[in-house]
Amino acid sequence: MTSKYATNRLHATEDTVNTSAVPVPRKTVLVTGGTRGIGRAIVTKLVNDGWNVGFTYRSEASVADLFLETLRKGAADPQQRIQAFAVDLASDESVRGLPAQVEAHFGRLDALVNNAGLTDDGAFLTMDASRWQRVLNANFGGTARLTLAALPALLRQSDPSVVVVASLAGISGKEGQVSYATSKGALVGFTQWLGRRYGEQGLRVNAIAPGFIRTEMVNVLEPEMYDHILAATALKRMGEVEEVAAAVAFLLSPGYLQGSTLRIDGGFKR
Amino acid sequence: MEKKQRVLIIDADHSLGAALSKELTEAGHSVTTHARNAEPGIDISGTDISSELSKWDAAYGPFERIVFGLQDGAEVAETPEDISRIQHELSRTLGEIKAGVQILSRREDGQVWVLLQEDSMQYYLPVAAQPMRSRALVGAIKSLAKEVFCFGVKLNALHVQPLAEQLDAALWKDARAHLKAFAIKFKPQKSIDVAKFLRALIELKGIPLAGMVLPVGIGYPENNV
Repeated sequence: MTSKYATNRLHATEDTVNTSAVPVPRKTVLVTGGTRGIGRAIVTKLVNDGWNVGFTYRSEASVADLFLETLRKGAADPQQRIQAFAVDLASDESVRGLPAQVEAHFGRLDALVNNAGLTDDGAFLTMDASRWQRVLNANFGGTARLTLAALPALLRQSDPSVVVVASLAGISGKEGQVSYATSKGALVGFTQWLGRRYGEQGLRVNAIAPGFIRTEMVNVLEPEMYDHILAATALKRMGEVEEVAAAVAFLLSPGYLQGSTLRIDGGFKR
Repeated sequence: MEKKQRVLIIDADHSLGAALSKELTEAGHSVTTHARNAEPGIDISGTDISSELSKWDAAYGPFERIVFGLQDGAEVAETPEDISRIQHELSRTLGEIKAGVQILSRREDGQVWVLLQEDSMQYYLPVAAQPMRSRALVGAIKSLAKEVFCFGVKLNALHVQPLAEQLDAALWKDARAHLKAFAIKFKPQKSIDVAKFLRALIELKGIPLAGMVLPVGIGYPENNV
């Protein structure tokens, strides 16, 4: 007997390769925090993979515009659509309206990649509560609220998917990053909760936990500040943002993963 | 003979908290029990734990061990209000753990234990699944433990499979009946047995555990950390 999930997968595959005689609408993904670092690499990868891509940014409009222009010029198919949305994920109002904006622009929303986040590191024992509350609100609260707001649009599609960008810090812990690790751990739990709650309706929900990845933030560090991390990593190198993006693209493709958190850490301490 | 410890149990009105209090008291330790709301048999009550802890430590301590007990109720994340509530509770718990660690960091060989609910059995039993709380606090504990180890505080967690007392016996029986092929793989654990295990850890001096999440359960904790 063929289950409805298997049927969904077949439809999704047909959509992706567009083998049908009748044109099938291109799938749309929304990526939060898409102008820098890992988010930028995810947007680039998904555009190259043929998705219609919406991405968010918080304040750097000129950076977003320039990135958008570059992506549009580089898109192989002129029919492919890419759009940037200015959103503060800490703002409830802004988050609530975003999925409708995306659906209005693209006509559909098939997938959501929750990448945006912030950190505020420091000794936790002397940290004021307002600092960890801000991190929790942006990373966990903003992500969870946006996902809930996007659910009606996602569940209208045949093979909807959510990918959450958590962090190895949320699994293994990191000194000086208690609030960040808490928020990312909460996202791992949210991924499980959402995957259980909506799995039967065909929504696939998974997370990734990047380890030490080469981003603008890391580039300014002196090697002696991270040598010990590389030494404890089986691959003996940092990860590249493109490698994280490839994992996100994999999780967005039809499959049997659900509620899982994929570590992208080069074998850190394993 | 082991040194007698002064232990504070936060949220001791849960079956495991009550069992731990009984077990520790019978072993001769000094136990102070807390609940959010005043209840018979509970020593102290209050919801603003992070602010009150120093006062309780002065009145009933000085504590050498602090246990943050299990919470009742399954997490729901259906609405933005649910998310705000979870977020608020996480923030509050972080503040409480921070306050507990700060108190113990003034003395040697402190232990802080955070009890988390394991929820693999939620597909068969109406357990209090709390994946966001559990996973968030795992991240917090593993991070903070690294920070406070040098102050002589060992911060750890128990990830506890549902306890026999948390559910009606009939529900356990039904679950086992539905899982006949796997019946030998799980067994409801009693609160007192988990309490005995935790007592043994609490009694250890210089325990070789920091930033650890210990799975506790018989046979079915697939989702343990």
